[in-house]
Amino acid sequence: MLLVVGSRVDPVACRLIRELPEGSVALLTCLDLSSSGWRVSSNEADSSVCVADGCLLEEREIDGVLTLLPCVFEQELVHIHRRERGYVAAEMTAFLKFWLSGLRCPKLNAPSATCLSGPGWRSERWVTAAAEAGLPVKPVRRGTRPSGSQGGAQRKVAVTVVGENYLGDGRPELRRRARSLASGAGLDLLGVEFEEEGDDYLFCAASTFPDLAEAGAADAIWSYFTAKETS
Amino acid sequence: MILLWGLPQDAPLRLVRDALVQRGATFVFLNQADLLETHVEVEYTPSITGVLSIGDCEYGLEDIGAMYLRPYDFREFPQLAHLDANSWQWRHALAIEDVLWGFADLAEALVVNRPSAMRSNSSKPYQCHLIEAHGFKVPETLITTDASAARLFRDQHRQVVYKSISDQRSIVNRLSDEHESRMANLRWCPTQFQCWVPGVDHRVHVVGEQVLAVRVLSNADDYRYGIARMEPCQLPDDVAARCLSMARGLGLPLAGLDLRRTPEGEWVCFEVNPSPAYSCYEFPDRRITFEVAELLMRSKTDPARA
Repeated sequence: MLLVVGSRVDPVACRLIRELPEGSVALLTCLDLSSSGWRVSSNEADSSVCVADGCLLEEREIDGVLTLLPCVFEQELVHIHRRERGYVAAEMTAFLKFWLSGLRCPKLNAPSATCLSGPGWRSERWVTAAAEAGLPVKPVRRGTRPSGSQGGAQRKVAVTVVGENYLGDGRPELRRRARSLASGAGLDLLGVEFEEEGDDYLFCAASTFPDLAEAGAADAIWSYFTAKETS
Repeated sequence: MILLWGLPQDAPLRLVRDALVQRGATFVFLNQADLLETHVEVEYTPSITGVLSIGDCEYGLEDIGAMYLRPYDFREFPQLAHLDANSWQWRHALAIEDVLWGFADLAEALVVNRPSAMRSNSSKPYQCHLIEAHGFKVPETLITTDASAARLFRDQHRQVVYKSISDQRSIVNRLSDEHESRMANLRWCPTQFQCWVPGVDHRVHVVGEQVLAVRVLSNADDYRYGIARMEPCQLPDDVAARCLSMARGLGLPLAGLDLRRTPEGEWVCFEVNPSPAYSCYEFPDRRITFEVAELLMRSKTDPARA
């Protein structure tokens, strides 16, 4: 079973689930985290029980996890008393970080202390990582004063790395650069954006929550998990 | 130059500031209460350049050799609490935090502590995995939304505590029969239960290479919220070495470790606090303050940074 950690109001999550093989995917939402049945014990590794799509699921039944949320948002906890939503969101997020990190199945992506999928880096950390990976980068300016014009809008292209597969722009060099950044960051799912500069493209942004609305995303994700299962 | 960020009334920050004054160190105190008069501009090319402006004074970010960060939630400041989240004041305050946290994560300076390193404490069971990897025992834990599982855990261990999973409302309470009527509420949110561990609490502060411990004598389930007496003590060498290795491993030049020595002589670690309010545990000779100040001052000549 592939577990998708997401939101019921996220159209991309819903579409992905529709496009993935029926009966092999379950959506885990904040409503499932407010359902009786969760049991995660520190002394019984691999034996946790979770709730997804309203049903109990044992850890050994989970073949992979795709996480589409950086955290549990309190705005989505409409079933929780308004006064408690902030606290419950923090508790659910903290719990998922722990539980997801302990699952031994393949994950897109594994959580970190900062984010439910990947390292949760700011733009400045990404530009540093890109430069370290040898990518030509567009400098990042962060500040508290109003910024002036950044010049004319440059053409941007995006590449999404999904394991060994790619979505988006087809140029081999940009795909190689995106792969190099993803590998350096230890990620199997990464969206990378480049901006045209003369006859080259500079790295300008990256995200562990790339646009998965485009055609082929479900196939790429399914291929990733089935390849992991057979390897 | 050393940057201190926080509120003047914050005891650890005030103690360190006074110690730096005594030692004649060069430092800038970024008073969080002045955030509306504060600006910061940083460029990552990816080498870092930038300017911190406080009122009419400007400081080059490249000149900062060490930072001690103790900021509070600005949304509780009297001058900002009544304002709307979309007000320019809130947006400015958020931008200051965001830019400074980003800088603190990447600056070449010694940072006490880097924001990314502090995040492990945002999930206590997640952090417990890291603690175990450094050779400490951690309490047996169950996280559940299932009242029957919680009851079974209590029956197995007889004495059980419950506490938050995140870093919010972090108070330890003993589970008792009085909680039975609230067990049905477990379904709303995963809740963390831990086997109660008997023994004597120890609070350990790791400051750079120094390990400073106090024994805490208290009858409360959570001594921070009860009456407690503290006395400085010496940890066994192997335990001190583990504390040091763990703080290093978590990337924390300053860390507050909650340990308990069981009657059997085992050392259990409950948590590593990455932003310890160490003043509550300060030694009579202000040893912790001394070590934090020295750590910040030493960083100016830190060969690793150079």
